[in-house]
Formats: sequence, structure tokens, C-alpha cells
Amino acid sequence: MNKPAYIRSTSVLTPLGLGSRVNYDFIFSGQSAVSANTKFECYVSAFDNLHATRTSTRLESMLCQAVDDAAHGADFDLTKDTALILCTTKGDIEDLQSEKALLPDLATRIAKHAGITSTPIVLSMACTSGTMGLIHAQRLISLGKAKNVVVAGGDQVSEFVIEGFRSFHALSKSRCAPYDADRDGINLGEAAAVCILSAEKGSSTNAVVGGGTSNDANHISGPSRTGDGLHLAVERALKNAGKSANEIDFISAHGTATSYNDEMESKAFALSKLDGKPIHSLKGYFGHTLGAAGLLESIMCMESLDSQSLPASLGYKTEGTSVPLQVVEKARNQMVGSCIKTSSGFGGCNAALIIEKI
Amino acid sequence: MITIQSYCHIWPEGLAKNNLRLVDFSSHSAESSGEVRLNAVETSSNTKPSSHERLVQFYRALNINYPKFHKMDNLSKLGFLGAEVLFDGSGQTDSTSVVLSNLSSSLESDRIFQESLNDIPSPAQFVYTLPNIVVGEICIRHKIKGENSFLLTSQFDSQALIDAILQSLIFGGVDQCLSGWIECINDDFYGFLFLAKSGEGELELTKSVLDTLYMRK
Repeated sequence: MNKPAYIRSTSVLTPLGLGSRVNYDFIFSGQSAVSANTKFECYVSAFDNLHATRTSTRLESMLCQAVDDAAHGADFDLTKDTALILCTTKGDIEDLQSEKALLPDLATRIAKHAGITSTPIVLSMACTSGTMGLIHAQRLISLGKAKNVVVAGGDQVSEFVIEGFRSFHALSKSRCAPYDADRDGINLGEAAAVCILSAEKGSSTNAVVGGGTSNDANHISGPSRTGDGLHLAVERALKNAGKSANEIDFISAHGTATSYNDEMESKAFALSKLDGKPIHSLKGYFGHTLGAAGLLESIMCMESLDSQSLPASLGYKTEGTSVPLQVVEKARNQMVGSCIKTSSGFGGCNAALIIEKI
Repeated sequence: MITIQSYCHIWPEGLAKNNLRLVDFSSHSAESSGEVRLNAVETSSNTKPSSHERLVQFYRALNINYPKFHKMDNLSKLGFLGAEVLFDGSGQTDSTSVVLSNLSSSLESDRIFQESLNDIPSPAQFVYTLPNIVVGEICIRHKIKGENSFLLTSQFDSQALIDAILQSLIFGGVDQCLSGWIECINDDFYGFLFLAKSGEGELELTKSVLDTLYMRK
């Protein structure tokens, strides 16, 4: 019953620029969007000049730009047989007191903008939202519940989220350093990402071939100490994709650069026998873009598969996890045919999905 | 075939499992209905209790002993109570997925946290500004490691829920799914939760069955 969901078009909007290839070229050459921000008094990846307009919220305008760019690249009509999944954690949190804070309304406005006539859903699963959106889409297509699915993910940098992570003492004092011995926390970031999937292959070069999710059942704000929850999600993804660990060529991990998260991931990948695979976190380039992260990073994986190359895991210098990982230290060309994208978040949720070159 | 094994409704006036009212705050007489197992705990004043007070009263009326309950926000308390009633100490939760939904996400907790920004923000409050935390709370309580998701929809969307339940049963390798709608906003709440299983049963999981049950209190 499991079927591939073909990637027909993608786009991402980050402070580095608009477009999947544009962003991939920037990160492959080592450019980061993360910098010191005087307003928030920490390092973030944020747009300099992006404001709400009279007719649309700030996040809405980010999402619409990415949707338009992705739709432009899709070679079919989105107005028919297409579902929309919006992945976000905090949406328009700055509009908390107004009705614009209701996330299904944001999804409805995005659908209208894209000409999608079906009723959209929002997936809000903390930092796994974007990855879960792709899994949900692939399964809707597998089950014949949808022919095409637009997965859109977006979150923005706000005082609300910054102060929340600051209260956890989780913000890094500089640009984050995933998996490094001296890592000291996260950078927040903002982005919109869009992936259009279809049951029909068309001219696509990649497909989502399986996914899995799990819950740690351990703690609502702390990662598992053993990694068994993420391991379960990885096992489910491999099983659904009909693959074994040794068929995976690289890992695009969550790598938030907190001490606990990266340590947990190293243990999970050891349990899944993936610890010998090249691994990177892209948080050093884009920051942690919350609900968009899994989608943005999956799209960068697709660019890796298309260009047969791997970007470096920015910020990494010295081994810093109890299970040694093969962290990609320098951007390089490499033959890659499939990868696994993983995400973990508050609430103990984990998600993993497998993307394959076809 | 997927069937609904059991369901429950929670709203300020009462809590019912299947058609049986387990807690009833609308009636002051135990004799008024032969089905009433636990009657209202009298409140000290005539003012309408807050959502928080009501949810704590349900917790007491159900004789639950789980101190973490008191740290949860109202949305988590609501989902927790529903799961408590449906699992009812059966312990059969090792092969379970969780798919919940609502309209307003964690908006009530978002507003509380936003107000705290003027003071010293608390991480214990911040963590509840995500709708999926209730899923985590339920998973911790019942040791559920299965698939989970939280959907936000403009209104109760039985088709979106059925699609998500089906996914988790087929691709998540589990026997049953805890699902439903939990909404907590403007000091009001409504929960409709149910357990869906693969296999034969009296109540088939269909859009019309879900829509009918959702409307019933």
C-alpha cells in the first residue's frame, strides 16, 4: 500500500533568498543567515525588511511568496485534486489578540491564494511539524486520498518564541554549533518552505518513499536520555519505505545544538545502526525555523540528491557526542541516492522520513 | 473495517463515557438518573466555576491520583481526562497511536504566556504554548510510543480525522488509535474523544457516525 510521493516542485524563502537552488548554493558555499540581532539581543536568522501589509500578515506574505515560486515550477494545475497541509508551530503569534491568530484561517487564506479549493488542514507538532507534513502527504497519496498535495511550512522569529527559549536557557551566545563539543544552544530562525507532491511522476527527480513518527513517552520538554523514541520513528520510516539502514546514504538530522538534543540523536542513530553515515544539521545556516525546519531541510536534501553533493554541518569542529558521528566537516561532492530526514520536538514527538532519487 | 470501541464527551456540565454519564454537574440529585455514578461536588459559591476549577473537579470525581495533572494547562487537562476515561486502567496502550484536533491550538496558554512576557517568563508555561503537548502528556501517562499527530481545522473535520487515523493504523503498525477533538478557549471547553480499532465492532468509523457523536453531549 506504501507508494512514493513524487516531488514535483519546491521552494524556500529564507533571509538568504528565494528559491530552493538559490538557498542550496548559498549553504554549499558556507554562507549563513544567522547573525547577531540587536532587537532580540541574541543570534537569529531573520528578514531585515519584511512587514505585515494591510491585507496580509507577515507570515502569510512569506508563505505566499514561497507558494507562488513553487507553483510556478510545478508543471500541473493546482486548482484541481490538490490538498493543502500547512505546518507551523506559532503561526501569526504576533497577532495573538486578533482573530488572525487562528491557524486554520491562515491555511484557508493560503489555499485561496494558491487556488486550492479543498479544505486545508494544519499540522502543529512542534519542531517535527514540517517533517510530519511530508509524511502525512505521502500517506494521503499512498492511500489514494489525494492526487496532489501542497505542503507549506512557515514560522517566524518573535519576541514570544525568543523569550520562551531564553527562559529555558536554550539560546546560544553565538552562531550555533550542532554536534560540536562546545555547543551551547540554539539560534532561532524564520523561513517559509513549500513542497508539491504528486502520485504522478511527471518530470520529478526525487520522491518521499516512507516515513514514521513516535513519542518518547518520557518528558514534555526534555529529549529522551536513550534516543529510543527517535530510533522507533526511524525504524518505522525504514520499514514503510522497505529499506534497511545500510541503504541510506546520509542523514539530515535535527541538530538543534543543545547539549541534550544532539546527544539524544547520536544514541538514536547508533540504535538504528546509522551512526556510520555522513550526517549534518543545517541549523547553523538557517537557525531553528520550528515548524518550517523539517520541510526546509528536506528540500535541501532533495537539492543534495539532485546535485550529488553534501553541504557542511556548519559550526562543527570537535567531536561532542558520546556516540561518535560522521559529521560532514566540509562541503563536498558525493554520490548520494537516498537520505533520511529526522526531527524531534517538545511533547516528546519524533519524525523520520526517507527521500530517494528516482 | 475500523470501528469505534468507546467514546467520551467532556463539557462543563458533565462527563460521559459512551452513553453513561460518569460525572454530572447539571443535576444535584443522584436519584434523577439511574446512570449517575458520581454526582456533583458542590461548589462553595453560586458563581459559575472556571474551566480550570471544573476540570479539577472532574479529576477529583474520577478519583485519579496523578500529581502532574495539576501542572498541566487546561487543554492538557481536558485531553488527559478523556484518555483516562477511555483507557480506564485497562493498561492496553502499548500498541496505540494518538491523533487529536481542535480549532484554536494552544491559544489560551499562548495568551497567558504573552502576558508573562512583561514579568519573568516561565519555561513551565512556555512549553504549553504548543497544541501537541497534550499528546505528550497522554503518551507519558499511558506509556504510548506510537505515532502521533495534532491537526488544526476550522471546525470538527471528521474526514481529516479519519484520514489521519487510517494512516496511523496502516503505517504506524498499531492496533488502536486514540482520537478526537479537544477545544479550550474563552474559559469554555469541549472534548469528544474516542478509541478506534481495526476489526469488527458495532460502531463503524464513518464520517456520519463521527459527526453524530461529536454533536451529542
